[in-house]
Formats: sequence, C-alpha cells, structure tokens
Amino acid sequence: MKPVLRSCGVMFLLAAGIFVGGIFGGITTPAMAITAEEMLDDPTLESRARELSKQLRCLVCQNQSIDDSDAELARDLRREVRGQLMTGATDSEIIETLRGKYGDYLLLNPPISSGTYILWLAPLAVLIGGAGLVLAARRTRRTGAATGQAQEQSQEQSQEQPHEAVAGSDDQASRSGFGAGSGSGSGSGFGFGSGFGYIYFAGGALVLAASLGLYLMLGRADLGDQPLAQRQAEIETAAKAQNQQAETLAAALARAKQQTIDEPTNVGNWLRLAQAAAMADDNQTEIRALTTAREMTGDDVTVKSMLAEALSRAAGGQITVPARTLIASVLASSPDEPRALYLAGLAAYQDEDYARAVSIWQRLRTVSVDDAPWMSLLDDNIADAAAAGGIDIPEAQSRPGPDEADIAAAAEMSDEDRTAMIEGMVSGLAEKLAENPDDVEGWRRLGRAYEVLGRPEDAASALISAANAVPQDIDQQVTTLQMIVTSGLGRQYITPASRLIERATLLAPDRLDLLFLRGHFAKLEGRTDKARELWQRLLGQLPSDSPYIDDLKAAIAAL
Amino acid sequence: MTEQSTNEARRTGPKLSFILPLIGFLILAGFAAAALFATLSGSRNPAQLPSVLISKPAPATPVPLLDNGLGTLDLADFAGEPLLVNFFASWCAPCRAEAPALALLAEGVTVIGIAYKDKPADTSAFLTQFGNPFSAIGVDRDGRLGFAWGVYGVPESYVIGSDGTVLLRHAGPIDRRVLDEVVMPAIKDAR
Repeated sequence: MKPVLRSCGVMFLLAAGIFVGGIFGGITTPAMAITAEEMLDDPTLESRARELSKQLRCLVCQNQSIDDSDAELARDLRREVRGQLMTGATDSEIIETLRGKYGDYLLLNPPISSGTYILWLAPLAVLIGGAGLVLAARRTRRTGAATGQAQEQSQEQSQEQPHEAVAGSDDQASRSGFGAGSGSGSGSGFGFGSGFGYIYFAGGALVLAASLGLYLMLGRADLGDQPLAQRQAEIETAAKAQNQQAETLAAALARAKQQTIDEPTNVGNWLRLAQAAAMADDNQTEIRALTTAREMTGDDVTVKSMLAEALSRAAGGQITVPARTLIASVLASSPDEPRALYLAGLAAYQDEDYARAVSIWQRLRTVSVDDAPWMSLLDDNIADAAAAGGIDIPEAQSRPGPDEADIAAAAEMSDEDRTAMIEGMVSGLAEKLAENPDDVEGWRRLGRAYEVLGRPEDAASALISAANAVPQDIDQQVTTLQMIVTSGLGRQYITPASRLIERATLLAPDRLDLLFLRGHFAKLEGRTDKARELWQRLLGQLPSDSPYIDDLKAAIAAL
Repeated sequence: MTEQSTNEARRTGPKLSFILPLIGFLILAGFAAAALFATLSGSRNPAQLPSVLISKPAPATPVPLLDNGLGTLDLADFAGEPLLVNFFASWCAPCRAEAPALALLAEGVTVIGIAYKDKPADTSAFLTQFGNPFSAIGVDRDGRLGFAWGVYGVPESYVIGSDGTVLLRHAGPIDRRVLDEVVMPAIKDAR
C-alpha cells in the first residue's frame, strides 16, 4: 500500500505547489486594464465597480475578468457597470441586468443550476471518495499487519482464512501495479505471473496505442492546427481580397490623377478623378478635383451639386454650411437640379424642419422622371420626414405614376417620335451611368432600351457593365452571357465573355446553363475538345426527360 | 511463498483500490474523447456561447437606418417571414469573408444588417466594396443595440422566426459550411 500513498503524497504536493504558485502569480500579475478616465469620482462607487468587474467574465478573452481585459467589449461592460452604479442600482441588480443579456457564462463564479451541479459537487465527491479510500487503506494495513504476525507465529499455510487472503492479494497487486514493491516476496517481478497483471499491461498498452493513433491522426506537427488554421485562412483570404480591392481602387485613382496631369484642360478627366476618389474613399482628392472642375466649367450647377455632396460625405453625411451655400446658389439659378434638391431636403431634415423637407422632396419627385433610380429612396425619405413631422401626404401625391393621359399620348405617338423619345431617355441614362457605373439596375434598363432600339452591340456592352458592377451576382453574369449568345455576338465579345465565364465558373462551377455557355464559348475559341467535354458533362447531368437533350446531342455531333 | 500469493491473487480477482482509479480514468477519458470528436465533427464549438435570447422576442431597441440616417429600423416591419440579423462592421476582417455567403443567403432570405460601432461613411464604403446583401441596415453607432442583443463580437448573426423570436445565434463569420449546416436548417425549421 505504501507506494500508493507515496504517489498520493507527491500529487498533493504538486497540487499545493500549483495552488501557491497561482496565488503568487495572481499577486504579481499587473492587473487593471481600466484607464483613468473610466474611473468614477466617488471612491466608494469606484471600489464597488472594481469588485463587480472582477466577478464578470470578458466574453472575448474568456479566461479574464472584465477588470483585467483590454478588449473593447470589456471596456463597454465596465462602462455599463459604472453607468448603472451612477443611477443607484445595487450590485445584484447590475449583475442580473448583465446576466439577462449575456447569460450565466458572464459570471466567473457559475451559479448552481441543473447544468452546473457536476461542477459544484465533483470536488466534494472527490474529497469524500478520497477520504474513503484512505480510511479503507488504513484498515487493511492494520489487519494485514496483525495477520502477518499470526502467520509468523504459526508457520502454517492457512489459505482458507479470509483475512490473510485479502492482505496477501493486496500486497501482490501493489507490486504488479507499480513494479516497486517494498515488502517480502518480490519474486513475481512485475507481476506478469498474476492474472490481472496482464489486464494492467494490456490496458496500459491499449491507452498508449490509442494515444499514438490519435496523435498520428490529428496531432502530428505537420498537420495544421484545426480550427485556428481554418480561421486564419479565412482572415487571410479576406485581407487579401480587401488588399486587392484597395489596390484596384488605388490604381484607378492613380490613373485618373495621371490623366488630369497629362491633360489638365479636360473637365471629364477631373470628374473621373473625383469619381475614382469617391470610390477609394479619398474625400479630400474628390473635393479638390470637383473644385477644379467647378472653376473650369464656370460654376456648372451639376458640378456644384456634386461638390456639395462630396463636402457632406466628408463630414459624415452632415450637410455642412459650405455645402448649404453651394446648394442655395445652385437652386437660385436652376431650381430643378435634382441632386441639389435632394441635398436641400436632407439639410431641412437634419434641421428637423420636416415640413420643408417634405415639400422640397416632393418638388424633386415632380421634376424627376418616373423611373429615376432615386425614386424609391425618395419615397421612403418623404414618408419618414412626414412621419417625423406628423405631416399628412395625400396618396395621389406620394405615388404618382404615368396617368391615363400619358399612356394615351404615348400610344398616339408615331413610331419615329417614340424612337426619338427613347433615344433621348437612353442618352440621358448613359450619361448618368458614366458617372455612376455601379448602378446595376441602370445598366439593365439601358441594355433593354438598346435592345428595343435594335442596337444589340450597345445592349451587350451595357449588360457587360451590369455584370461588372455586381461580380458576385452569378445570375447577372449568366444573363449577360445568354444575351451575347442569343444576339449572335459571341465571336465579337469573346474576351469580355471569357472574363464573365471565369467569374461565374468560380461562383457556381456546376450550374447547368453555365456549362452550356462555357461549351459554346470553348467552341468559338476553337477548343473543340473542351467544348465536347463540357457538353458531354452537361448531357450527363440533364434529367432524361429534358427537352434540350436532342439539340445538345446534335450540337455535340456537329463539333 | 511466491506461488502461494499468486494463487491467492488468482482466486480473489482485482482489488477495489485499483479498479476504482481505472474506472475514474476511463470516465474522464471518455468525456475528453467525446468532446474532442464533437469538436472535430463541428457539432461542438467551444467559442460559441449560448445566447440567453433563444426562444425570446428579439430586442426592439430603435436604431437609425443607414440610408442618410432617416427613419428607424423596426424588425416588426419584416414580421411574417424568417430573418437573418447580421451584426457587422467595416473594421472587422471576418465580415469581409462572410460577404459571399450572405449574398447567397440573401437570394432567398431577408437579411438585415446592423452596422456595429461603425461610421456610416465607412459602412457605406464597405458595402460598396464587398456588396450589400441587406434589405435594411441599422446604424448601431455606440453599440447600444449590440448590448441589448448580448453581442460580444462581430460578425454575429441571429436567425429570427416569423413571430419575431430569436431561434439561433451564430458568433463568427458565416461561410458556406456554416450556411449549409447551421443557418439554412434553422431557417428551414422556421418556415
């Protein structure tokens, strides 16, 4: 029994060492993540705040209290605790509020509940179990010693006596288990001779083998860390994507800058620079470019409105005083400039002059064409301003559309007039889109308009722009490709189309209509084998009753 | 003597003082193995904390809408269908990683964004760069709404049932696997 007790003693010492080390470690750790400005003036409240903070877990650095943690969330929670203390809340009220938001996990001392019984009762169970074992061991040793004496005296074999059987087997087992028996009769060595020595040996070998297997399967140094590696890969991809995006924008900005240097008298260059700067979030360059453009155009109202918008964007959306001056001067000369009207309404809204905001925006509504891209936003804004100011807007006014007279007029138009009207709308739209190439809806409308006008090349270009504006939108890529193929422009647009195909293939490699399109463009590029392979794959994936199967088979045969 | 004690051992079988620690060890090892395999198979993630909001109505703290700061975001406007509410920020790198999965999700499900502790101008620039899958975006400039929801980091997403109760919280970015195995099943159940 002695070795058992000895190893128990060693374990106890170790545990005590860890415990004492933990206490000293805790004392020497420089705690206090709290900064001076967070502290409360009242020392009593501040000490309560510190006590509370020590009981609350930081959910980001989960083994630190919010008192220790430098995480943003910990700071928020410290502020919350102090804010509630200032309102006179009790400690338990504060803890209850926070627990209501973040759950029991917030408490470093878990409460006793059905889920945590094991946690609280396990130490008690171990203590009782351990005490029981020690008591049992003591009793066995005492009886064992007594039996040993009796044995020496009588020198008789008395195997039938229960006491001796217990003591003897205990001695034997302690040797087999630890291989370091100190008593007499160590002739059985490691105890292989005894029946359950094998069990221990087999058990130990099994544990070793299982550990080795697990290590080779999951823990080898050449394998990546499981969840961390995955997370880091995600972060890296995101950072790479962001860098790429930033690089593209920066390159576009640099190109635009170079163009203004090469050809400083071209207003378009300055406007393009402003647009590139707006995309790259460089408000200062945007403002500079627009200021130059404004001087060159002699106070063009559109440029002035754009400048007012840029100034407001630089101020985080607030319509600033210089912006207001610009807007006022634009509206003085051309009261229907849409951008200036929108910003004027926004300024009124920000002044909480809702009646004025509604009236300005309604004016913008009446001067805008019905399918202007800002219409739905404008309607929402008008409704918001009306709600905020308690203003009633008549239904008819808030949702005007083409009335019966307009429709009748359009129907009576001659074909030539109608075409002229569409042409006018189209050139206006194309100009707007040159300014704002991210407007997918605008590009789609432009594409449809060109198709109606019988200009398929222009329609294809517009749809390619739409696809470029939303590179993640697989449907738009496919729609554009289909339009190119159905208008028979495949050969002409093979370069932009292959870019769209690349993009779409990354997004949805197994999409059936995409497989067909990929095959089609492979054929156009003269890669007949590739086309055949793609179409065969498509054929294999089409349902057997698909109406396309015969056409597809014919197309494959024609390759 | 040797032969004698060996015989005795054979007869009486293993002793309690050796069986008990062995059993204790096996139980502990069993727990550890179960936890290990649950983690590896993805059904257990120690970083995912349970939300106290589950099966409770989503908090209705009003926040302004991103579109020019006009009006307030009200989840009740979207009642009647399951929603995904996504707390994000332009300063958060994993939020970029989940953009494609959110875009995919937004094709069939209404996704509401909450810009958490972010400047509206930065949020707008972020959405221009990485796409905007959101049907509406609330601005939680100072994190009040996040506090009401018990958000402890971004990105964090909540699946809200048609009746406005919170069904699921997922902390961390939504990738394709999370989308297919965690988010979509919850939305399917909600429908």
